[in-house]
Amino acid sequence: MSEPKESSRRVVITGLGVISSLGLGKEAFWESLKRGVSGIREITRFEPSLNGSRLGAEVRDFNPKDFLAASKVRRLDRVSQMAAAAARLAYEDARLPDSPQEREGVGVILGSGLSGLISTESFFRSLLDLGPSGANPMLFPNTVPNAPASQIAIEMGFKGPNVTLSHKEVSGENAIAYACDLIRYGKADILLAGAVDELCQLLHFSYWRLGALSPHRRSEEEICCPFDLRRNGLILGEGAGIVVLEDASHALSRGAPLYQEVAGWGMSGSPCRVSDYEEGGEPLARAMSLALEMGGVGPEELPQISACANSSPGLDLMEVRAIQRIWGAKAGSISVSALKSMLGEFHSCGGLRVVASVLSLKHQWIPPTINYQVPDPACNLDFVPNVGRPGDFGSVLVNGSSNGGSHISLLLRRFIE
Amino acid sequence: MEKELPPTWEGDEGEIIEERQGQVMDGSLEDKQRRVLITGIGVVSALGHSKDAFWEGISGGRCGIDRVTLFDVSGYRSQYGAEVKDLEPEKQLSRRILKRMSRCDQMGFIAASEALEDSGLRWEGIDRTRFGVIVGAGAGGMSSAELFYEDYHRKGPNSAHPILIFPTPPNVVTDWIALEHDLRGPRSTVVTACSSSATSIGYAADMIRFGRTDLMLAGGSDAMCRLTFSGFNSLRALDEVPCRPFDAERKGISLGEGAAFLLLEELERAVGRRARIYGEFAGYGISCDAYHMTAPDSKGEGAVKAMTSALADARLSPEEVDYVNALGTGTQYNDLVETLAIKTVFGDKAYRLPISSTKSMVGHCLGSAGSIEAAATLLALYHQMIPPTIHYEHRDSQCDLDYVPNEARKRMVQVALSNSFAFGGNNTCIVLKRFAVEAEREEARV
Repeated sequence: MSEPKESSRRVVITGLGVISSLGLGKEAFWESLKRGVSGIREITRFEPSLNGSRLGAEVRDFNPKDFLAASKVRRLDRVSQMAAAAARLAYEDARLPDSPQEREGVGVILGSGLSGLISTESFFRSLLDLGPSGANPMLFPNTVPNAPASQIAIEMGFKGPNVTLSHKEVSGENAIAYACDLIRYGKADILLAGAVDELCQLLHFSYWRLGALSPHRRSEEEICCPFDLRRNGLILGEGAGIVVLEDASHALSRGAPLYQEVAGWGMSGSPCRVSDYEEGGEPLARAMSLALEMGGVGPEELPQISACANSSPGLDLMEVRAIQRIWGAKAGSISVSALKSMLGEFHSCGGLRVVASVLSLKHQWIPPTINYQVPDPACNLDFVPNVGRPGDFGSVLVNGSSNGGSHISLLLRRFIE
Repeated sequence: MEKELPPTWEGDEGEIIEERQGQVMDGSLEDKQRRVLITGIGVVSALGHSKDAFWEGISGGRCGIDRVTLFDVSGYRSQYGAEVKDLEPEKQLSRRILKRMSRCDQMGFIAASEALEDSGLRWEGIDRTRFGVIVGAGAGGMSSAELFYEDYHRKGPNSAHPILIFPTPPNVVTDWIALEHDLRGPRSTVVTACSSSATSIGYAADMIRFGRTDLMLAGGSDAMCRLTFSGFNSLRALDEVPCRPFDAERKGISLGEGAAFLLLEELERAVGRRARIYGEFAGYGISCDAYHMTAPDSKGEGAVKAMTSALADARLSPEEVDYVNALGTGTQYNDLVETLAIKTVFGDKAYRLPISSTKSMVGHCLGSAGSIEAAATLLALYHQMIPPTIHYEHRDSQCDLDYVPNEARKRMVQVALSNSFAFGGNNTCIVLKRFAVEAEREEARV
């Protein structure tokens, strides 16, 4: 079979946009990560007391009027507002020219788990309560999952490829991987890529009914502590993390601020039950290997790892096994940090974790896995417990795994011309 | 007007394009692409539960749109929709699995399995890590989630059964297909409303073109549900009779449901195993109107860009296109804008180009529309016959192209486009072309 030659185009990150539970904008976000501050607190936006779980990583102090015109604020629901705000921050951060002509070629590839679930719920409730003629037509456009990406395009005048992907907890990683494909293979020069999701009562309740939330039993502590022996389920979060991806030569020619290169990305699947994580770690290891191979990182170079561990017993153990599969005895020398200990878990957390890894590489600083107190003998790696630290590393591997068996790994590397 | 075979099989395609466009194309990327053939098709639609029933239906101009029975539609502007009738998933799936699947998952699984079986693929020697699945979805498991929410809202949260929300996320159908067929390659789920499953096919083809995989199942599945039915009803977008695309008296869409999957296979592999080949995936283009959530921009600029970038990706010119499977939803505005966009892309040729909307027969299947229409287009290439636009009676002075009214037409089709333009201004166009092994061998010898 003929093997394709590699494309010469390289993908770099030139802008960062953040709306998160750890702050708005990349500076606030990074300060919190660096200090190991948790975004997880008592939920305030709705009453969670139906459930045993009361905690969540909510985006606080987000005033859409700081980012969008008042007319837009009215029309967009909150998830689209967060997406549009993060997109604007990323675009400005990349210092891209502010003319309509420049914007026309730009595309948006977004990941989102359930997008406008609040709008969907409101619309459906209006149907149940008032019948077909009472269903509110103003709400319906926000119920489609591609609404946030389309609203970004409308808001900013981006007429390039516009795609929304939804694949549970790897939605964000998937969006960035696809956007990288489109740039690498010459279908676009500039794409905004990332993910957005919002926390709401119905989602929180559903996760609880499906048995995924911490605490698993009433006697247990409600805590998000990836890799810790006490881990007993996830805590939900929300937010938007969007990066500007650009063809490297395009970025260099316009003198763009260069953060890092997305040097490799790998995707794999494993045949495990739709609600489960597979156990051995082989498929996630395969995704990591594909990303490392594509990025030209050999076994002697140890990347820093941004773990997908979310405090679920199965997922965290699987990830440890996957890392051990690749590096064997050397796995212990790798710094593995689980940022979901601060951000909580949500379908599109990958967007924010990629932003975090970009900043981590830039500042040569490894943010910690917080709430790590009781080591699990089965999870025996360096998890950068509780306190961040400076490091000396040239690449970061951002892992993503969803239950049901989808795995994506993205390799970020310092850009060297 | 009948047309001779276009000269695609003679001479060097690259040269033709360079001459035509008067510029030298960048040869750096195109040389590296592997080619992608379609070797299996599976369809579940209102016209039946197989690809053959689907083709028989659309080539015979049969209407699958009828009164909706899945839920109570009294009080709506329209009582019509294209439902999949007598779905019998228990023939293929155990009860244990079925109770965890939504209607969307069931239809998707059946269509994907048919595509696999249809391809005659044998599992020996197949590297399952290089075989993936990408699905375009719409409402996902909403038909189940609605039942959950109804109890949640009316009887109290704890009375709602959690198994109903299990299949809500749109990727669940993707994971079921991968699990049951043990596919270990990349997976993804595209959710761009009505263009989802056209984009999913494009993304899957890229996986093969750029060497990440050798085989992909790609398609879409979407089930009729109250959410979408009442949504389009609230926007006054439903026609009260079965939809009449491009007809002067058209008043809106008829919603449909169903699933279609294609087996995409790397060229040398497919030819090597002497697979039946429906056609070649030649390219795709994606654009965004950046205009309005529910209306296309008035000049159809986004649609034009999707078609022209798809043709550029396929390295084909508008002159080489023989058929367009239209978006053709049946709303006044969409059909007009699509007609304008086709005129912009094809110039005078637009009037000589057969264009049809298979939505007139299977309804608008939203998340799976792109894949169902890709299947229709491939079958048109394979059978050299163009399916019609039915319910076409009154000529619209502004929609004045050849919409292949009411009866299928036997005709040479070498290259065809399939348009999928969505809510939110998300446009995707895919280009499919006929593939003849002999002609390719001939070319290789030259």
